[in-house]
Amino acid sequence: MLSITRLSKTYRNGTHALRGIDLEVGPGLFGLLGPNGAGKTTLMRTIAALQRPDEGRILLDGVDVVAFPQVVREQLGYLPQEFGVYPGVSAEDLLNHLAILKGLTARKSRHEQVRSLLHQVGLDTVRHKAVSTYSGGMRQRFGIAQALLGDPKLLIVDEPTAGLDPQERYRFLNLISGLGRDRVVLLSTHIVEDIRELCTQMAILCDGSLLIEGAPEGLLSKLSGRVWTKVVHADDVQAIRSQFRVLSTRLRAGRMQVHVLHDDCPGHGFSRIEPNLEDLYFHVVRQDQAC
Amino acid sequence: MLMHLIGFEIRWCAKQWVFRISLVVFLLLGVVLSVAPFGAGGHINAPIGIAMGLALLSLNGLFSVTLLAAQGALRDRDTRMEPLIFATPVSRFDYLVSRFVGLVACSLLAILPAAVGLVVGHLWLSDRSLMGPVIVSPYLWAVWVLMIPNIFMCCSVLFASAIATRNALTTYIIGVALYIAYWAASMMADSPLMAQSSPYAPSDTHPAILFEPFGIIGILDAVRFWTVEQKDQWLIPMTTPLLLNRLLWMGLSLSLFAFTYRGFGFRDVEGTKRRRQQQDDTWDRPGSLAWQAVARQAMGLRRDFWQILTCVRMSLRCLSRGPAFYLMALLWLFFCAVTLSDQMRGGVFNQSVFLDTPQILNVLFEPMVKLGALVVIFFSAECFWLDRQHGMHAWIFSSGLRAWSHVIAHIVTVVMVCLGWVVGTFFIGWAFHVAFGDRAWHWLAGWMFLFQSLIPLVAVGLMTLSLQNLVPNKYAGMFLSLTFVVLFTGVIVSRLPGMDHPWWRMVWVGDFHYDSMTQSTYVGWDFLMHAIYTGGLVLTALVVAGVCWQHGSFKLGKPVLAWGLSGVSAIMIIIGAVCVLGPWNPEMDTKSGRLDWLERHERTWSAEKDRPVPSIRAVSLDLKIQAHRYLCQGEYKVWNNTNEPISEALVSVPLGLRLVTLTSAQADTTVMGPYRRITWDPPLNPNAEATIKFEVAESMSGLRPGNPERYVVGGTAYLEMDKVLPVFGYRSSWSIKNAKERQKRGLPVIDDDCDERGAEDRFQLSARITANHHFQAIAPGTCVERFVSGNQVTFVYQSNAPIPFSFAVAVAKYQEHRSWFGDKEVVLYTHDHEHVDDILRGAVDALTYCESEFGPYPQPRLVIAQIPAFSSSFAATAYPGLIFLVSDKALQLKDNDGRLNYRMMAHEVSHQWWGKMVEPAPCKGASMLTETLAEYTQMVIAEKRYGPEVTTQYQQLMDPLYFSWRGYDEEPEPPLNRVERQAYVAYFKGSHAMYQLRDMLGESRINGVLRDYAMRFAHPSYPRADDLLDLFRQEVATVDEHRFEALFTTVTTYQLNLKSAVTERTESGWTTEMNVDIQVIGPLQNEAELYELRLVDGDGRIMAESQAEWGPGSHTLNVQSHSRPDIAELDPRLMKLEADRSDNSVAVANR
Ligand SMILES: Nc1ncnc2c1ncn2[C@@H]1O[C@H](COP(=O)(O)OP(=O)(O)OP(=O)(O)O)[C@@H](O)[C@H]1O
Ligand SMILES: [Mg+2]
Repeated sequence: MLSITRLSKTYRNGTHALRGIDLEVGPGLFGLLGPNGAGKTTLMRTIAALQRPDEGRILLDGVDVVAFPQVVREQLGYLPQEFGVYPGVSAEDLLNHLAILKGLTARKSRHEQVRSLLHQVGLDTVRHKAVSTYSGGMRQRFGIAQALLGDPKLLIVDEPTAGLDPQERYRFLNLISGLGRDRVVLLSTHIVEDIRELCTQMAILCDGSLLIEGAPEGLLSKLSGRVWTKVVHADDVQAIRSQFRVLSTRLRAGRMQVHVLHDDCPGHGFSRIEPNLEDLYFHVVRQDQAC
Repeated sequence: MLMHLIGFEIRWCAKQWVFRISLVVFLLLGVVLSVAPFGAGGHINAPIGIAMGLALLSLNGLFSVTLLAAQGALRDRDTRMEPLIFATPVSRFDYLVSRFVGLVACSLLAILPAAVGLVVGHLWLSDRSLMGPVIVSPYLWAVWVLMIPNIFMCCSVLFASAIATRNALTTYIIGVALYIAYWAASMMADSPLMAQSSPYAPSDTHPAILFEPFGIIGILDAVRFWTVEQKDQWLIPMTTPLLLNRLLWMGLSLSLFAFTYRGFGFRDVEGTKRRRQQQDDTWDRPGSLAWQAVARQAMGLRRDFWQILTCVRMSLRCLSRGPAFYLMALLWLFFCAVTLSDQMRGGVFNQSVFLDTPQILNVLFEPMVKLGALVVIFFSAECFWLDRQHGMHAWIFSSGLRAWSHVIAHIVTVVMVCLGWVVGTFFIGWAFHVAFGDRAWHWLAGWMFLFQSLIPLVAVGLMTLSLQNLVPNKYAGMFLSLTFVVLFTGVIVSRLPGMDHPWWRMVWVGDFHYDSMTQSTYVGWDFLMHAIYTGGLVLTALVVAGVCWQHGSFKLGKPVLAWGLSGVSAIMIIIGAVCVLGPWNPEMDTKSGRLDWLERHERTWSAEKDRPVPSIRAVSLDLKIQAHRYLCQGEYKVWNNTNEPISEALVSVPLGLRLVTLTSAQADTTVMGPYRRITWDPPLNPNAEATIKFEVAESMSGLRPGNPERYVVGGTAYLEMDKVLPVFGYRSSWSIKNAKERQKRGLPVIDDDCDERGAEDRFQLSARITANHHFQAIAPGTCVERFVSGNQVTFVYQSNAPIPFSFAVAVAKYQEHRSWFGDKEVVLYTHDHEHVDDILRGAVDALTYCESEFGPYPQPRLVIAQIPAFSSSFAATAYPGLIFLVSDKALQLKDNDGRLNYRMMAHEVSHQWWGKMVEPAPCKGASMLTETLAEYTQMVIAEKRYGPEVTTQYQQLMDPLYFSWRGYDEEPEPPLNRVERQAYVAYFKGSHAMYQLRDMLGESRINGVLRDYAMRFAHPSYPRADDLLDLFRQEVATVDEHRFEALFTTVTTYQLNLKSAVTERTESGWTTEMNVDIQVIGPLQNEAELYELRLVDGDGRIMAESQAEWGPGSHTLNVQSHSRPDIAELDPRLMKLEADRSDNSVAVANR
């Protein structure tokens, strides 16, 4: 159980990256959505005790993470958004190294886990190659493998699926939802569908503030019946925009599909659809003018 | 576009920490240089001093340039901007030229302030009395000829390597390689900056001058035969080798840039192919590959241990990756090979020496520590930044690895790097020993080698870690560490007034100084104290770093820990400081402190100068030698040898010793400053006797600089007792000798010809020496008794006749060898067994010759004993019936005919006559009566055994030595009859003068004069140099009078030039016309003298010889020969003292 209260962080250059975040995260997958620069990475790094917040508390199972960072580190699996690797070191060696750093000193079980992880992320055939020579997606998979080392009670994965091919992405999502049953998994992503499919809880962050928080179904139900769609000519979008709250516009075969939020039918040609997370995202983020 | 890019480059560079720090550092170094100059010129601002100083600073500028180049050329790679930049349409020309020009401009801006600092210092800070007139040209010359080309050269070499390899480590290693090139060339060319080197013939230095990238050897070579006055006044000429050196390196730099330019493409460099693409797919598929949780081991020491281990392994693996590491190893191997092969012929006169453990380890130690510091700084910085640089830090920091485990892993890595460096070097030395070495290899020396170098290196490494922790930029941190090392290891800070205090030497304890007789270094295990002290300082640095760092690995978990560690380090510093600085006399540790003390002493006590003192008639000593200290109890029988009653006298022992007690039954003693005053009541009447008892003790600390004349190391001892025993009266040696310094302090000018105290008393000596029972004690006289009690042995010596106050004793483990001279025995005590026959033969031959030519040998036997290499200031020394030979000098020589050992023995034996039997008055010219005559005697004795040609060979060595040594004398050169401490006059010029005198008079007439002199002036008549010269003057023919005076009473040198020789056939054979130019430098320059010319054929056979009496100027001489000569030579028998003989012979041309 991770509970965050009034968490604020201002970088030295004056950027207000987090503004008084309050969040309760229980076991299961927790999805973090937000535009670029919203503060997702900052929040995750702060929880991972890689940087100190200016204000606020983070409690992991009742233990103050800021005061006792070692406690969170002992239970943490972390996949940073950006990382590098030592040059010339093979995946297996590097994973072993990191495993020891995580306290997996028993040789046999460590080797077994390293092996199964490499298999899980589909790297077992290239495990002797230097990670520095991997492709972007392979490297990301290696990152995932290292995050799963040990028995992390708290998994923080920052855009884990970025760069993965569809097959690997599904493999990862399956793996993580299996793991998520009895541990806290914090996941940030820009692929909205992923959250819908996996997460029991989610939050949308914008400009350092938490806009909404809750179970995806619950949040969506608030929009239920209020989202309308119509395919129009590109020149007409401007007119619709001036009249209604447009959630999104998307080019479809030379014409525009617009999603509009309206309590009742906005007009001719509009049809009601079931709201999806993307609609929710645009709804929330647009509302917040500062974003 | 280009201008814009260059502008950007310079602005970027100017923002770099390295640039800013180095600008400030070099400006300050320039100022420091103005206060503490290089070069042995008389004036602070002598052109050679300016040139040397600025050239050395540009050498140190190498470090700034390396870092700037690595940062500038590799910044796209480091910041992963490369793909962005390379994908822009910027042209190769614009890209490379702007980077290079920016680098050169910034390097110049960062390093040239040194020259500004120097000028500023000279104008406003330097002591005017030590300066000549300030003129601009030497500064401009140094900047233009040395600094700018050097900086440019460094820039292009390092820029090329950075661009070519795109690897910081390789770039850094190439920077170190330039430094090594300088160092190796200095070794090859005998730079006086290198302690170990010995002089070479000028032609041998030319390759080194060319090869050395910084031109430093070139300027030293250009002035190597200049006197101090010349160095003060003359501008440095652009000699051909120096010019070639400058052109060569500039050309090389430009072509390197061109080469880089050609080779550069906007492409990623691909890594080198892995050799080993191991694909052992023995990874059998286990039953379940599903992910299963694995519990972490609980936090604790066991887990920490494995974590540290894996971190260290990973760091070492990453650090030792790639070609740079192997390049560095090869470079070091090359350097060791150059150094050691140089050392192999590093004996006196470049004779080959026994390459044994001390020779190898002593010579490798200093470069190992200094270059090692550079290597360690780099690896420590790399190690510190490894995780961040490769973007691994988030994983590492979030892994649960404890901060202190991380710190310890860094520290262990640094220690491993140091260990690898030192152990590697030790084994390189060992391998060299296996291949070329002699004598047994001392494995145990390895422990001291390791201990004494590892601690400084680890300290530098940890200091670097701390600095990296405090500075937000790797290169800036490295630059600070380098600056720190250069400042404190080099000669820079210690030259500042008051900064030569040992406190500032912190990490370093000078040289290794391992000696095979003691099987120990001079410092020995006293180094432990030093280690504690250094450890405390390093720990402090780590704590400071830990407290200051917020985000990284060094954060100290709990304030308790920080306070605890601060406490520990403070305690270590205090303990260390007490032990390290304890043996130091705070007043006397620095040069300026010492001068102040001497001045105070002279002002306070010089009134006592003329007070009569009692004479010593008999001395009995009880000397106890322990492992690192000695205790000397003694009794003087004194008497009043004056005409007036003596009521009181001052007594003192040398500084650093403790006069434990001083008692006299008839007198009272009181402490008065550095003296004790003895008061006799009633006064000691003329001829009355008294007894004085005393006890002197000294504990040796290996941390004090070695005293070559007084040491006890592990029970082995050599003590010159005149530097131990108390003496009576005002100590005139406790005064400032340097005339300029006296003038500055307003002290009266000393122009006494003679030492005020007069000659020393001679007395009967009875000495008991007690030492460990493995040892043997040697003292003057006869050993009348030897007895063992417990594990102590005692030797009792009685002098055979009264001996002078200067005498020495030695205690060591010896083997005994004997030979006979008539019915007197010659006993040799050695540690090494080589050369025993040569030495004994030389001693017997010399005794035989001297006894037959100069008078009977007064002692019942002659004892010769080896002493450790710690006596570094002399090669051998003679006392009545007793000669000491220093281990690493003649005894170290490997030459098979033993000529130099033989010569040295003959020289020392002849001192039994020249010095002991005839003791000169303690006046100017005294060493002409000892050393010059001993040189003559050894010359004739060696000639008897080895033939006349060895004398010419010997003179060929002596003359260049005379010229190069006098170039480093700070005082004007005296003529032979006024010589004081100038060894180059008494030995080298003396040897030459006696060689010529024998040419004038012949051996038997010289010996006749010497026999006469020995009889007339036998002790105690104390002759002066002119007494002997007067005897010679009666024998010298009128035609030789000028030549005689030129040699003995003036300073006269020659520059002879055989401009051409043309020959033509005549009826009687061949007539050769030789054109000669003669310049004489000295007071008798207008007198005519005899010059010799010679014609030889291609095989060196003499065709014709001729003489002519010429004054200075151009002359022509025709010489007849039977067949056609091939070569004409001027002064072929080396009759004139001449620095450069290369123009004294020409090939004969046809008319
Ligand atoms: N080290 C830093 N120094 C200063 N400002 C920073 C730093 N890191 C992030 N920021 C700023 O903090 C804000 C939040 O950044 P953060 O990386 O947390 O965003 P994010 O939500 O992860 O964005 P993205 O989706 O692009 O990854 C941004 O405005 C960013 O510019
Ligand atoms: Mg992010």
